[in-house]
Amino acid sequence: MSEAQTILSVSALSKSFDGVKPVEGVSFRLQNSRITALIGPNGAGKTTMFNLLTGFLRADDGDIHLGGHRINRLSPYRIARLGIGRTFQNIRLFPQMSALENVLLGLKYERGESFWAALWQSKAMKTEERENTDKAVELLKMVGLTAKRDELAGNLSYGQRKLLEIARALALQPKLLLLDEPIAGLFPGMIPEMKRILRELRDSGRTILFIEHDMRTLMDLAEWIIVLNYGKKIAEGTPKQIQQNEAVITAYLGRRRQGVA
Amino acid sequence: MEYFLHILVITGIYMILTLSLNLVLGYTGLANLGHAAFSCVGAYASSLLALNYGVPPWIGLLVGACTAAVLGVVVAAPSLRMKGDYLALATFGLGVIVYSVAKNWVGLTRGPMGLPGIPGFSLFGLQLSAVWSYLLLVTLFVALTFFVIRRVVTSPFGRILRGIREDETAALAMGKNVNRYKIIVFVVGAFFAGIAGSLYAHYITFIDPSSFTLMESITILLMVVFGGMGSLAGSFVGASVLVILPELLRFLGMPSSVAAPLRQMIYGLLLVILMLARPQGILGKYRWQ
Amino acid sequence: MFSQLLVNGVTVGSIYGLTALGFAIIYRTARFFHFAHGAVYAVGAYVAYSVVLHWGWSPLVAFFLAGITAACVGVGIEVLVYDPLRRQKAPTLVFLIASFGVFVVVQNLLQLIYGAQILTIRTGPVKEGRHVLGAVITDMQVLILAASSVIGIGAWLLVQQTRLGKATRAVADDRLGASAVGINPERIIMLAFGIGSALAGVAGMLVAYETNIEPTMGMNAILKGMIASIIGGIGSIPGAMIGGLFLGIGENIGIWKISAGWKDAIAFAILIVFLLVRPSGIMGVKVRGEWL
Repeated sequence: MSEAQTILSVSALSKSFDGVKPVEGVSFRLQNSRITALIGPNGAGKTTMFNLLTGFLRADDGDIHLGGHRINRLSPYRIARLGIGRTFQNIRLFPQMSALENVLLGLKYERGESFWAALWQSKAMKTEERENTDKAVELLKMVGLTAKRDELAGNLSYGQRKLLEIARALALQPKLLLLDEPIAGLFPGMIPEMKRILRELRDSGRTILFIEHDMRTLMDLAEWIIVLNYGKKIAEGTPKQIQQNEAVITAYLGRRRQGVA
Repeated sequence: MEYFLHILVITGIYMILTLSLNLVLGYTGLANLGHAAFSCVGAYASSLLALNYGVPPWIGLLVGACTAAVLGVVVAAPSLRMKGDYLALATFGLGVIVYSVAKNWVGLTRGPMGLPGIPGFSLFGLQLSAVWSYLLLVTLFVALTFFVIRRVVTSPFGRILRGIREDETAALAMGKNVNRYKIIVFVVGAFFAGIAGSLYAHYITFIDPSSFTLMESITILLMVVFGGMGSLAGSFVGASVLVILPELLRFLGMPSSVAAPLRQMIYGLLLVILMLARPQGILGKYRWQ
Repeated sequence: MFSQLLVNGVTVGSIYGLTALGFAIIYRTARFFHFAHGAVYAVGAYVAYSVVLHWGWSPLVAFFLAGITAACVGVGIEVLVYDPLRRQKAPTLVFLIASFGVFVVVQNLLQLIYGAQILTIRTGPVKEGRHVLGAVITDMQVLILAASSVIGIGAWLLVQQTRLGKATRAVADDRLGASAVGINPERIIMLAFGIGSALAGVAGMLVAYETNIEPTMGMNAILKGMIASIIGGIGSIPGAMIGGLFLGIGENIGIWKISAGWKDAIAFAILIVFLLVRPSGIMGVKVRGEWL
C-alpha cells in the first residue's frame, strides 16, 4: 500500500484506564476508498479504538495520522470537521428532533452557527438554511428516509434510526466513516439494503471502517479485516486470509471453549 | 389599581428572568441553579454606579448587564466539565458565593443593610416615578428579551442548542464546538438577568442581599419548569402564575407568619406535583430524557 | 489557637460527616442527590425538642424518637415521591427538583407548626468545658464526637460486612442483575432511606443540643452534607466521614482567616475546587457516565 493511498494511519496506539488496557500497541493503515472491518471478540477494544480515533478518548501512547495530519490531541469536534464521521454502538440521535433536523445538525453552517448572525438573520443566512435543507433532503433520500423527514427521530424504528445516523454522519462530508455495528439488530430483510448503501458510499470515494459481529455479512462486505483481541492487533488481511488465520480462530474458539460467548 | 400595576411590573421583571433562564436550562439543557446571582450583580452594579458616581440608570443598566455577562463566563466554566446533578450543585454554589459577597463585603455593598435611595430612571431630565411609566419600561425590556431570545432559538444556532440538550456527545461528533455554545448561552442568559436586576433596583429604589437568595434562583427555576422548558410562551405563563398566585394568597387575609411559609409550601408542592405528573410543564414539549 | 480550631472543626465536622453518611448511604443505593435529606435532619431536631420540652422525656428517648421519626419521613418520601418517579424512568435532574420541592414543603411545614423563631433544648446554664491540650471542649462536643464515631463505624461495618450492606451495593451497581439474584430493589432502597434518614435525624438531634433549632437549619445541613460527601468521594462511607471532617476543619480555618459570614462561601469554594480538580473526591471514587 503506497503512502498516497493511505487515508488513516495508526501507530503503536495505547490506552489504559482503571487498571485495564483496552488498546495496546495497535498499528494499522486504512486504505482509501476501501471498506475495512474491525473485528474481535467482545471486549477486544474495538469501540475504545473508535473513541480514540474520533478524539473522545486521548491515547496514552502512539500516533494517529489523518491524511498526513497528526490528530491525537484534537478535540472530537475538530476531528469531525476534518472529515471523520461516526455512528455509535447504541445510536446517539437527537430523539426529540425530526429526522430532517438531525441531518441538518451534521451540516456545516458558515453563518447560522454564529450568535450574531442568528440575531441578525440576514438574507445570506436564510439562503444558507435553504441550501442546507436541500442537502439534508438529499441525504435522507440516499438512505431511503424521505418519507420520514418530519418524524421525530425517537419514533423511528431501529433500522430507520441506524440509517438516519449514517445520513447524519454523511452530512459532515466525511472522507472516512467509522460505523459502530451498522448491521447488528437490523431486520434481516434490511441487510442487503444496508450493504448496498455502504458499497455505494465506497464507490463514491469514501473510506469505511466498521465494527461488526455478524460474521457472514462482514465477510461478504469487507475488503480488508483487522482483528483485535485483548487490546492487541492479532491479524490483518483479506477475509479469506482471516478465515484461515490460526490466531484468529483460536481467539474466537478459545473464548467459546471457556464458555464465554 | 396602583398595586395591580405594581404586580404587573414585578411580573414583567420575572418574565425577563424566566426567559433568560429558559435559554440556558430549557433550550440548552444546562442545569443552572444560581440564576439569581446574575440579577444580583446587575442590580448592585447599576445601583452602586448611580449612588456613588451619579451614573444615569440607563448606563448603569447596560454596565450592570455586561458585568453580569462576565460572571456568566465564570459560571459557564463548570458546565464545560460536568453535567446534571453536579453542575446543578456547582452553579448553586456559585450563587451562594455571590450572595455571600453581597452580604459580607459590607464596604462595597453595605451588606444586610442594603442600598436605599437608588435613583429611578429619568427621561429627558424628568425622573420617572409613576408606576405605569415603569410598567411601560419593563414591558419594553420584556419585549426586547423575548425578541432576542426567540430569534436565537428559532435559528440554526438554536437548533444546535437543542442538539446539545439532547445529546452532547452526538453534537460533538457532528463537529459542533459545544463548549463555545455553552459559554455563549450563559453569557446571554446572564446579560438579560442583569438587566432584570437593574430594572428591579431602580424601580424599588432599595436592594439588599435578601432579594437574591437561593430561594430566588429556585423560584425562577420553578417558573421555567412550570411554564415548560423550551417554551417561550411557557415562560410567560410560568412567571405570571407564580407571581400572581402568592398575591392571591394575600387576599385570603392570613397573618404573614402563616402566609409566608404557606406560600413556599405551595411552591414546593407545585414542584413535586409537576415532576410527578407533568415534568415538561404546562406548555413545554420537551420531555426530559 | 490551632487546637481550638481543631476541636471546633472536628466537632462540627463530625456532624457534617454524620449527615453526609446518611446522604451517602442513600446516594449509593438510589443514585441521585436526595436534597430533602436536610429537611429530615430538621425533623429530627424538632422531634427531639418536642420530646424533651413538650413531653418531658429524657434525651435518650429523644435520640431514638428523632431517629425513628426521621426514618419514617425518609421512607415516606421514597414511597410517595421517588418510587413513582423511578417507575416513570425520570432522569436524575427530575429527582433533584422533586427532592427540592419536598424539602421546601417539609421545612415550611415545620415552620408552620413550630414557628419561625429560634428554639433551644438546653435546659440549664451552659456548662464550662474541659481544658484539653490548650483547647476548651464541652461535654456536649465530646458526646457528639463519640456518638458520631460509633455510628459512623457502625454504618461502615453494616455496609461492608453484612449481606444487607452488600445488597445495597448490588442494587446500586446493577438493579436488574440484583433482582435476578433474588434481591428486592425497592425493599433495599427503602431500607437505605430508613437508615440514612435515621442518621440525619440523629445528627439533627445532636445539633439541637449543641446549638439551636430553627426552620432553615436543614438547608445548611444538606448543603454541607452534600459538599462533604462529594469532597470525600460520592457514595463512599468512609469518604463521607472524612469529607465531613475535612469540611469542618477547612471551614474553621477559613473563618479564622476571614470573617464568619463567609462560611458558606468557603464551603462551596472548596466544593467547586474539588469538582474541577478531583471530582472523585478524597477516596477516589469512580464517577460514572455523567462526565465528559
